[in-house]
Amino acid sequence: MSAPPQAPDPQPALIELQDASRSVRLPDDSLLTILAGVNLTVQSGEHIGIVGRSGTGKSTLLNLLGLLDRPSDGAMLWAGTPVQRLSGRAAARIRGRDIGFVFQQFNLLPGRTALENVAAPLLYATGREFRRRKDIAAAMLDRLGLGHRLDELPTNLSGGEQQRVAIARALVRGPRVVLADEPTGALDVETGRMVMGMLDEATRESGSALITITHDPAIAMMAGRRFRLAGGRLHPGEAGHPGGSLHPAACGNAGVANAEEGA
Amino acid sequence: MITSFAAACVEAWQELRIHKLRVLLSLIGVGVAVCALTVVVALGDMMSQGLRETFERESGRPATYTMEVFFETAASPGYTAVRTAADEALERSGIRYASVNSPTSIDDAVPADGGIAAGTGMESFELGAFTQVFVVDPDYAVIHRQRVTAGRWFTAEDAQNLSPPIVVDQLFLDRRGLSAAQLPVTTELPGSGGMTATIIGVGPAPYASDQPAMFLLSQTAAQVPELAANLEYVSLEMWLPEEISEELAQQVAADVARALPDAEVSVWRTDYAAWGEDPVALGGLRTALLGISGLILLLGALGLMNIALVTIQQRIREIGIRRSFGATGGRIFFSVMMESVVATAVAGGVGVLAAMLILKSPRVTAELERVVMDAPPFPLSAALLGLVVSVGVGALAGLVPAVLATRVRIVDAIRS
Ligand SMILES: Nc1ncnc2c1ncn2[C@@H]1O[C@H](COP(=O)(O)OP(=O)(O)OP(=O)(O)O)[C@@H](O)[C@H]1O
Ligand SMILES: [Mg+2]
Repeated sequence: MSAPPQAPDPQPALIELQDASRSVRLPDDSLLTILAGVNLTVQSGEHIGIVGRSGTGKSTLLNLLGLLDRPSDGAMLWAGTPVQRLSGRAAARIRGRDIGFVFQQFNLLPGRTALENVAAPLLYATGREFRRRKDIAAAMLDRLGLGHRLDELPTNLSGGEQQRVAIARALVRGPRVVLADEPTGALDVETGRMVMGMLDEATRESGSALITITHDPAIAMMAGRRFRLAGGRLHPGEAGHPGGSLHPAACGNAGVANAEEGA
Repeated sequence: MITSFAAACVEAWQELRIHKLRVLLSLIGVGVAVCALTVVVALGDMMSQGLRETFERESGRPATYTMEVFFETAASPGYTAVRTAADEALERSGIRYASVNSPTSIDDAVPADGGIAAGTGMESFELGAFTQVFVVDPDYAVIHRQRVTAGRWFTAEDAQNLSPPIVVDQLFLDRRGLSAAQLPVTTELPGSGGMTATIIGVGPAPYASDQPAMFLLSQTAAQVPELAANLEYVSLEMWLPEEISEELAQQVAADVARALPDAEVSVWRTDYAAWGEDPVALGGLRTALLGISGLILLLGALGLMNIALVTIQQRIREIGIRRSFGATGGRIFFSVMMESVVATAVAGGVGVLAAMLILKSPRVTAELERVVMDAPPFPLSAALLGLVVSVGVGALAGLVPAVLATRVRIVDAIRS
């Protein structure tokens, strides 16, 4: 990949947000600013955790990072290329090849088997990836411990299993970054941590970056770097709470207090 | 590119598999409409094709001219002399197909002590029992599309046969208790007072009738007193190339008139196409039927689009998910379109098949044969039209949902 002039750095960061903001026009024609000047640099392979109260714009931020949306102001670079320069087609290609999404509601394709769901992203690939999509998908499901449930429909799978299928689907093309929006939000605490552990391990193995949005401080603690989203800005997460995972309630309260401070 | 197409097919197939009910509904709506359209078009084609053949069998293929030679003031030099003069004129003008066409009928109520098969000949005594007689030459078969279903038609050599050859219809055989398997078979020549003829072929009569029919060569007729009277008035048909038919016909007539100064010679066109523009075009009726099936099709397409639109609403989330893992707007458009086209193509195929079965069913065939002599085969053009229309309807019905699907904002689709 050739380095564009904006990035003298020979190895540009994977994603860079520079004073990026996002606002939407409401039906009554007023402007709602959700993100106001976010700065974030994501390096290849690093794990980032983001916490924040409901409605602070976490999903909006993740949509920007995943090229599903564009900042209304400020700059965003994908591997050194300003996203404003990317065509819809190019953005779709990057999403397919380099980005994997994991959603809170799993978002599996209804009526398709686990195998078909995991193979679905490979329908947008070419060559060997396309032709051998069933084998690749089966291998990925096997890696997540679902090798025996390939032909099951999502409705027959438990929440944890569904999220593992979703993780397999996010990882099946070997993305450079996985974006997880409250991946454990619909699961009980135990299952959530088990699934999150699998996601964490799989991305570490493949060298993919992982950005996780979560309410669970214990899960946030798995990341190398942590942020708190409040008032439309990212605040570096406090390194404190080494025993956070043992006292989730205390940690959650601290997060709320901080958010109120920032607002 | 090929990968995209294959992948879109995989997606469309999965989609159709999941929405079996939807596929079934579109199958019914579009299938019925395409079936109706195909039936109308095919029936129209079969009717005009059948009518054309019926007309051609009755009045000759375009352009058929009839030349009449008769003697009002002077005595006729006889059939053979007239025919010789006519043949020379035809030869000079390079006309290849010509035949006498003198239909007549013979009172068959003669004593059945001749060659008539015992037992079945009784009917011949009934009052009003006639045999239709068609005095012709071998070329009659070309000019009138005359067929034989068994045995053979006349050849030029048949005129020399000692036992005069005849071609008869099935009724003629039935009346004598004969069957086509016995050909050639001898029988008494009706109206000849005891002459024996050989039945060489069986074929349909030129007109539907409940009287038996018989073809015999003009040379044979000239030797049978009762039939020879019919040839004093020579009526000769010529099959001419349409572009120059009028000149050729006039030329032959003038030649004959020169050779036979005492004769009255007249010539005029007698095939069905001379009656008007195109008498077999079903015109208004066909347009009305096409309009009706077009309307049915439109309703089918609207229903299909409606179903597709409803499911698109349900599928917005799914489209958003697909876009999150790399589907371009173009691919989404193509997928939605493909689903619609695949479904209607299947439905249309079934509709066309149903139309074929309907038109080939014995009841429809029987109805058709009351109008035309033989029901022609199912026209390929109608089948093709049905398929093309069904694919077109699929594309049309898929267009609106496909455009809607690409307009969906990914972010909204996923959060909804
Ligand atoms: N397209 C939009 N139109 C109007 N309001 C929007 C739009 N997108 C987001 N918002 C609003 O912006 C705010 C942030 O939304 P977002 O979904 O990013 O929050 P979140 O942090 O992910 O919340 P949660 O934790 O509940 O998922 C919310 O108040 C939401 O209602
Ligand atoms: Mg959210």
